[in-house]
Amino acid sequence: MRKILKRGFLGDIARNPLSYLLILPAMLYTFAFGYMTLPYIIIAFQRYDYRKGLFGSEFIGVKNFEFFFRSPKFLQISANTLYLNFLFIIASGIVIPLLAAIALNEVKGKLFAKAAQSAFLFPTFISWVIASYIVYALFATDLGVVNQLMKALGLNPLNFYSNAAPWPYLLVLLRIWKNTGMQTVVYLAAITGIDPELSEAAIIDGAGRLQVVRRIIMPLLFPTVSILTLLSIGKIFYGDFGMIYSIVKDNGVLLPTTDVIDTYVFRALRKTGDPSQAMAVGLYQSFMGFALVFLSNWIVRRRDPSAALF
Amino acid sequence: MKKYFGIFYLSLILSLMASGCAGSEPGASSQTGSPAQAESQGSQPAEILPCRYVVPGTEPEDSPAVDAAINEKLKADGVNLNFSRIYVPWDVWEQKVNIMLSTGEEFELLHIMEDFVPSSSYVAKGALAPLNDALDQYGAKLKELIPEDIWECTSIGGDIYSIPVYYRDFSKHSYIELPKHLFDKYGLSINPANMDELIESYETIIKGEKDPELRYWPKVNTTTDYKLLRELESSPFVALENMFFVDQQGTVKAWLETPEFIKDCEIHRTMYEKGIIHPDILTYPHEKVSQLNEQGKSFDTDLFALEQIRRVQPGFEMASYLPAPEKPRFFGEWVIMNANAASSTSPHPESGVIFFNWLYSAQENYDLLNYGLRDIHWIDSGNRRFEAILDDAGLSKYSFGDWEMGHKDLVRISVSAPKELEPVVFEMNPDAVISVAVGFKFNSEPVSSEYAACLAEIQSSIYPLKYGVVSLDEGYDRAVAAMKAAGYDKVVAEYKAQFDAWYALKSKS
Repeated sequence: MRKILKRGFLGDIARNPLSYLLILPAMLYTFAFGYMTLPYIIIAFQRYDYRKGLFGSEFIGVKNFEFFFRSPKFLQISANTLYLNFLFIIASGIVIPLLAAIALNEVKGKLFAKAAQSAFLFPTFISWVIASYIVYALFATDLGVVNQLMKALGLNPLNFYSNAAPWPYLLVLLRIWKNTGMQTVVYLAAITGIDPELSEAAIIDGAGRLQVVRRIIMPLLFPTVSILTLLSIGKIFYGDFGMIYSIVKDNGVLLPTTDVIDTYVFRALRKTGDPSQAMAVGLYQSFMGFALVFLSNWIVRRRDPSAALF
Repeated sequence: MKKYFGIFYLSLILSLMASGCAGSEPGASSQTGSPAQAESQGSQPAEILPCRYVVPGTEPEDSPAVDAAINEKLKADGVNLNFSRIYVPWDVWEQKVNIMLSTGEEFELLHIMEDFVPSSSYVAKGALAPLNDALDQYGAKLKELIPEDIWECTSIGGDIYSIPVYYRDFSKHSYIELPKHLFDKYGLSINPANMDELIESYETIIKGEKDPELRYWPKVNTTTDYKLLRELESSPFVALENMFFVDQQGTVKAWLETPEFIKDCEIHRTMYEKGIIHPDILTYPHEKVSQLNEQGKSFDTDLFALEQIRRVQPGFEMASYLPAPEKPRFFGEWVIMNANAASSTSPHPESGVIFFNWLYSAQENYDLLNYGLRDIHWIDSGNRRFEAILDDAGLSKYSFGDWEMGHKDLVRISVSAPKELEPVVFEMNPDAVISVAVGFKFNSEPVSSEYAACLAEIQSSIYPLKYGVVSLDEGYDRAVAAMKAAGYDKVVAEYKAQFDAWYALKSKS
């Protein structure tokens, strides 16, 4: 009996009870919100009636998808969502945190490294609502810090909130400011896991620091970067509603470059609150995210199976 | 060490799960009412019914104590109800209520904010139960205190789905509440001849005061500032949801293609160009605008903020200016902005009617819910005024919005509230005009795709024009084209068809 237990799943639990206990809340959460809610996907194809419920409401095919796919803004908001998320993934998910992690790893002064890491991490804990006040204080037309500086330098102030063009780049900068810290921690942890003997051997053989980074650290970090990127791609059709709505609010002038699927759906359904139409768009976002993850994973697996998610 | 940590962790998880389960258990009561007292409340259900009231906001510290006192009073009055409140935070109100309704969570009363999610949206999804029978059986006092035309305004397809909160004279919104002391300071008339003179006066004050926060702060939402359009020959009319124009003859037109909409845009554009409207009006934080209103930094003062303003500016004086004074006051699109409805998820929709009937049947009952426990949370200052009892931090341990459940005959105002507030709160102007469109509820289901696309497009294309950020020359043609591409014509045609049918029926009766 003891042997059987040790070999199977229950045996694994018996061997590592605390590990399973630690994961229990996450499992319960995922079960409750990830699996128990799956039957509600059906309402995307129903005219959902609160009285008739999930199994009594009338089926209406794909009518709930029409408001989104037939919208004249469908292409624009889909393109905005993909473009902004692509910039977010590249800039705040890969490039800047990776550079920051490598730089912090190379810093010899521990105190400075810790202080810098803390400074990077701090904005992670600021909500987008609070961040939106900071953004407004910076870019306000009349009393914004940026315009005050421009005036002081003899330049004409800009009306940032009447010009949509710079906002994708401003949003990327904000995302970098807010997300770099946490991503850096992940990459730093991955770098710490690299056997230092590899770098030491390379240095003994005459490699410079840059060569160590390029030839050893970067290739060994690739699986981590790849997996994190694949996970991000799964959410690429989800706009960051909290960020964009907090900062842009109801400013229609900025929407041509900042309107993403989630903000559009919020505006369209805020009044009617139709759960079926909301579910229809959610299903589309999930399906597209799943398809893209599958495709990206397939490409990654062909190049390097160890860097693939599955 | 590992073992102790594991035990601690397990007990923490179990206790959290247990507390979560305990919190969701609805209260049960074994109270029984006295038959004699029950008679004074009219017909009563045989058993004690739950009355769970879903309201927006954060639960005040003493709310459970007040609920307990309400239940004591209900019992003493022989009313077979067990009352409790479920608070839903503001930021998740719509989502949480939707989830509660879609998962069949039982509750009896739901607060409705017509300017947020209208009752018609809930009715279209089968979320509300009709109250006609319950009102006939249990709502004698409600019918007595709320006029027939107000019930009509809130009914949908002939059925009553909610109990209107009839407590404030919204026709007062026909006035522009000017900062009189500033008009006096610059020798300006508080009765300008027309809108142009008013805007010139604002400009003079702006230039003189050089206060970047002193502005005309329009509310960035779907409502229209009718007071600015009173001079128009076609006034009064309503522009509903920024899409539908309805005049007092019952004529429906596409609002965005009317001269009235053009005029609205022109007025705002002029104010925007003169710096009277803030350059970042579309993004300016709403909370900050509320704060500025309470500091008297608005060219159209909120009457209900006057008490607060005078704490900051003791010399603040207000003058009510009625543009086109020869025309009657107008309710605009809101005669009633709040109501309380019965959820269809409850097997006892009558509970809400019984509760409100009891609430309005005695001042004592009303005071208990609105102001809390007498001499603990508030003091009766006489003449329908009250003084809240504050703690050391200057906060009250209990308050409940009169906008959620008030009635003009029962509501009180703060002891320090300005005299100007009394007629708005205690009286309803009998001569004020109600729009012919009030009471009509548009069913957007036949054009749901186009309607949703138009709602999204309005903020994108129309708001910049409406608040003057973009000029008509620059943005009008593009905005109308975008609305038409979203299906505006089809939505207006459907609205017109439904309205005409409803209006013909209403005119006959």
